[in-house]
Amino acid sequence: MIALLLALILLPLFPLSMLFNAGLQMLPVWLRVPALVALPAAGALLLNQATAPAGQFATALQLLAAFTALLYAWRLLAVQEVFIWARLQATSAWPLVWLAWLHGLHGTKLVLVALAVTIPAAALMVLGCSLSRRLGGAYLGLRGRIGPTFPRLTGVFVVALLAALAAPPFPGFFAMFAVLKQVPAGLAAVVLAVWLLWSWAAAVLWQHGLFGDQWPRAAGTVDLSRSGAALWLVLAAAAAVLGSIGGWSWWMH
Amino acid sequence: MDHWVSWCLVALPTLPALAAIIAPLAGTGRPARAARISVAMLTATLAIALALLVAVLRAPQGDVALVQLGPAALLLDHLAVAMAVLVAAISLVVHVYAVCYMADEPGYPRFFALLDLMTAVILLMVVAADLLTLLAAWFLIGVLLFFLLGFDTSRKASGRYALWTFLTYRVGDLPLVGAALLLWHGYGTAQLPELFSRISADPNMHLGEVAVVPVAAMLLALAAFARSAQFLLHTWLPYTMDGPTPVSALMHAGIVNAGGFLFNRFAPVFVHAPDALHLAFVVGVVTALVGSALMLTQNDVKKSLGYSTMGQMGFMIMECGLGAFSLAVYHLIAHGLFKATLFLNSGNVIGDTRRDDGVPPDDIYTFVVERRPLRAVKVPWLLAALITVLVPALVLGLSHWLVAEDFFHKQGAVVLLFFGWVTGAQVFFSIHKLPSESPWRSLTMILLSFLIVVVGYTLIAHAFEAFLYPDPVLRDAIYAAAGINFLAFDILVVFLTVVLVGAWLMTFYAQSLEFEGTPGTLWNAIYLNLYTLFSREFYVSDVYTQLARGTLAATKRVNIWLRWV
Repeated sequence: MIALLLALILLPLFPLSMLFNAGLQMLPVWLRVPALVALPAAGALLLNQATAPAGQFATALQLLAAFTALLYAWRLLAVQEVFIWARLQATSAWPLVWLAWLHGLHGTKLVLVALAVTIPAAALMVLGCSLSRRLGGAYLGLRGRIGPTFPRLTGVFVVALLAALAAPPFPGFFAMFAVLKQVPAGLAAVVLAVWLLWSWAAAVLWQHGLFGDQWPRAAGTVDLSRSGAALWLVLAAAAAVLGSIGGWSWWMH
Repeated sequence: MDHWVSWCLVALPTLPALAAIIAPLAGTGRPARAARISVAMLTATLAIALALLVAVLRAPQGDVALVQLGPAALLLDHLAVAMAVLVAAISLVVHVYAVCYMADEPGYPRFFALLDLMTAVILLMVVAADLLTLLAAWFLIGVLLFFLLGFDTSRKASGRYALWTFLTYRVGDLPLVGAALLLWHGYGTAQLPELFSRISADPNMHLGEVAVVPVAAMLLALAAFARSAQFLLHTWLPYTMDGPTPVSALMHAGIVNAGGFLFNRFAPVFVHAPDALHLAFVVGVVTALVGSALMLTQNDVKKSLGYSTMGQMGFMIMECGLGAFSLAVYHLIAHGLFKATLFLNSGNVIGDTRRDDGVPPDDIYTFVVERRPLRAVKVPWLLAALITVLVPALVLGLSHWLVAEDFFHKQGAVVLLFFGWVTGAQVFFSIHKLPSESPWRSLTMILLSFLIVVVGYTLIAHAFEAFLYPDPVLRDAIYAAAGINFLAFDILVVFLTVVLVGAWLMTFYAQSLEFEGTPGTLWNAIYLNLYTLFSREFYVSDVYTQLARGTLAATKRVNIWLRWV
C-alpha cells in the first residue's frame, strides 16, 4: 500500500499532479530535467512492487487516470511556452502508465513505457533552456518563426516534438501500443484521444514556432553549434533505432 | 520468387530513405547537387519497381514474396507492385519537375529530403506485410505531409492548412489503430498473409460480444474515408493549395488515394463485412456528388481542383462499396496520372493565358471577315442521345448471348458496364458540345469513342481485375459481399440511370430553363439560398473552425484557473 501511495506521488494523478507541476516549476532548470526522468521511472519501479488493487478502488483509479490524461492533453492545446508544454505533456502521459499497470503490464516493460513517454519531455526542457537563452524566453509565436534565424535549433526542436507526440519510429510510438494492447476498448478510446490531442498540440506549437514573419536575431545570439546539433540528432536516431528494434520485436512476439 | 527479388523489395523503400539522408548532406553549400542525387536515387527506385513488376508477371499466379526485414516484414504481391510503380513513377516526375521549379526557394535540399522521405514512406506502406509497419508508414505520411504542405514558412496560411491536414490524418489514423488492435487480439498475429488466412478459416471470431471482422472492417473503412477526403472529413483537401505545386501533384496523385489502397489491401477482411461495403457505397456517392457540386460552384480555380479530387475520391470509394475493388485501383492510378499532369501543367496554363486571353472570336467578325458560317452545326441531339442508350444495351445483350446466360444477374459485370456507360456518355457530351462544320463526322467520332470507352473500360477493368485478384473465388466473393438483393439492385440501377440522364438533360438545357427563376419569387429565394450554401461549402469548415476556436478558448480559461500547473 505504501508503494502505491509513493507511486501516486511520483507518477501523479489529478489533483496531486498540480502539486507536482508546481514543484517542478519551482525547481531550478538544471534540476527539472533529471527530476522529470528519474521520478516517473522510480514511480514505475514502485508500481512493480505494489499489487494492483481490485474492485471499486481499481475502477476509481482507472477513471482518475483517464481523466488526468485527457485533462492535461487537452490543456496542452493552448500552451506556447516550451517548459510548460513539456511538463503538461509528461503529466498527461504518466496516467497511461497507471492504466497499463492496472491491466497487467509489469516489470521492465512498464519502466520502459514510463521512460519512453517521459524522456522526450525532458529533451524539450533542455531545448527550452536553449530557446530561453536566445529568445529571452521559451515562448513561441510571439514574434514569428525561428527557423531562418536558428535553423539547427529549430530542426532539433521539431525532432524532439515528433518524439513527444509519439510519432514512429520513436519509442513513444511503441509505448502507446504497449498501453493500448493492455487496456480494454473503452480505455483504448481514451488513450487514442490523448494521442490525438498530443498531435494537435504539437502541430499548434509548430504553427507558432515555424510559420510567420522571421524572428529577429538578438545581438550576441548564435544558432546551436554543428556538433551540438549532430549530437542531438545522433541521440534521436539512436532512440529511433532502439525503439524500432525493441518495438517491432515486442509486437511480433 | 528469386533471391534478387527480396533484395529489390528491401531496396525499394530504402533507396529514397537513403537519398533523404545523403542529398541534404551532400548538398550543403551546393543545393543543385542535392537535387541531382535525389533524382538519381529516384530513377533507381523506379527501375527497381519495374524490375519487381517483371518478377511478379513472370512468377506463377498468386505467388507472393515475403521478406523479413529485422522484425518488420515486407510483401510483394500484384497490388503492392502496381502501387509501387505508380508511386515511384509519379514521384520521379515530381522530382524532375521540382529541380527547376523550386530552384529559387530557400531550403531547396530540405525540400528534396522531404520528398524522398515521403516517397520512402509511401513505398513502405504499399509493401508493408505486417500491421505495425503499415501503421507506422500510415502515421508518418501525415507527419511528412504537414512539413511538405507547410514548406513555405513565411506564410502563416500554409501552416494553418498544413495543421488541418495533419489533424484530419491523425483522426483517420485512430480507427486504423483500433482495427489493427482488434485484428491482432482476435487472430493473434500481425503478419498480413497469416492474418488473412486465419480470417478465411474463421471469419466469425468474437472477442466477448464484439464480432471482430465486421467491426475491424468498419474501422478500416473510417480510416480510408479520412485519408481519401470523404464528406465531413474533406475540408482539408481544397485548402492545401498553399503547398508548392510539386507537393500538390504528389499529394493528389499518390497520397489522397491511399483509401482505395487500404480497401484493396484488406479485401479479405471486407469480403466478410458487407455492411462496411454498403457504408462505403453511401459515403462514396455522397462525397462524389458533394465534391462535384462544390467543384462547379467555386470561383477559385485551385479550390475547384481540390473539390474535383474529392469527387474522384468519392467515386473511388463508391467503387469499393460496389465490390469493384480492382476498378478502384485502376481509377486511382488513372486519376493520379491525370491529376499530376494537371498540376504540373498549371504553370504552362498561366503562361498560355498571358499570351492568349482565350476569349472566343466575335461572331460578326468570323462571318464578315473570315467568311465562315456564323454558327456551326451540331449533331442532332436525339440521335446522339439514342446512342448512349443503344450501345450499353447492345453490349449487355451481346454479353448475355456470347459470354454467359446469367450475365444480367452478375452484379459485378453490370457495375463495370454501368461505369463504362457513365464515362462514355461523359465523352459523348464533351464531343457533342464542340461545334463542328461536319455533323456526320462528329457523329462517327461520338459513336467510335463511345464504343471504345464502354468496351475498353469494361475490358480493361476485367483484365486489371484478373491481374490484381488472380484468385477467381476471392474476386467473386468481393462482389458477393457488396451485393444486395436483385430487386433492390435493379431498382438502384434504373434509379441511378434516370438521375444521371435527368442531370445531363438539366445541364444541357440549363440556360434555356432559367433555373434561378424570377427575382422576388419564392423559388428565386430558395435558389439563391441553395447557391449560397454551395458557394460557402455547406459551412462545414466554418463549423469546424468555430468548434476548434471554442475548444482553444476554453482551454486557455481552464489553464488560467489552474495556474498553468
